[in-house]
Amino acid sequence: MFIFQLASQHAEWLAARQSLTAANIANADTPGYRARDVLPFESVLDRMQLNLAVTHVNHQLEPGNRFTSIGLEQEEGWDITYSGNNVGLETELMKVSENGRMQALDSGLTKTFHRMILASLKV
Amino acid sequence: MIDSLAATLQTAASGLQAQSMRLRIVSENLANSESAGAIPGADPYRRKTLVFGAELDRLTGANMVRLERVQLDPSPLRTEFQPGHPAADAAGYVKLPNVNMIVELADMRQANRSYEANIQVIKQTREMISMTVDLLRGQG
Repeated sequence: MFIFQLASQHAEWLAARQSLTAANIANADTPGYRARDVLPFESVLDRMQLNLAVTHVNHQLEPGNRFTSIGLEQEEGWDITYSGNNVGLETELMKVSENGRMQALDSGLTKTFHRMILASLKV
Repeated sequence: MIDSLAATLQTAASGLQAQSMRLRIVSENLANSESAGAIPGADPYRRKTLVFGAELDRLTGANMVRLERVQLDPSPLRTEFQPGHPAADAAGYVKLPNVNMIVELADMRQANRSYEANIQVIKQTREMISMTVDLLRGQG
């Protein structure tokens, strides 16, 4: 079920993004702090590789095509204050609500697909 | 390393704590804005400022904020001519705290705004967690 894997990976990415955004907001008044963001989900997907086929029990699998780490990037803030901080509360709050919206989409899709599978089982 | 959403809540909570600490310092400054010394020529209350620092919590992997230090504002003190004051020096001048009411109020508003932003993060994160938990419920 590719859709479930994709949705859970996206949710994982969203959680990582939410935690970075929270760090940015918590440090909105920290001197010298630079805002950070995770790399876009597309680039995370691009970095995943396919698994090799297993033909023998002793073959060891790669950790799987799950991402183990999510890349970070420095964010271009709107402005840098005198103390060297470039966190924009507005952009960060926009990201927070965007994360919530995307999480709603993820869980909604998962719910729907789950219902579809259950419906086909019940016939 | 704990779940990212739980780490988010911890981070936001540390932000709340830092901003409430800031509000506390502001209120200390405001309350002592007229606290002069008790003996002639004594130094009055000096305005306190605080410095935040980013910190990685090694146990949970959460990027938090913490109060790095509280320091005294080295800017010059006010002096007023009040010969009858107990802290007046030989010339009759009293040293008064370097607290500027407007600056403190602006600082208070900013602390308020940052606090609100952290609250918003907590609200949204709780919603995200409950949406995920809702996947388990009400199906079939």
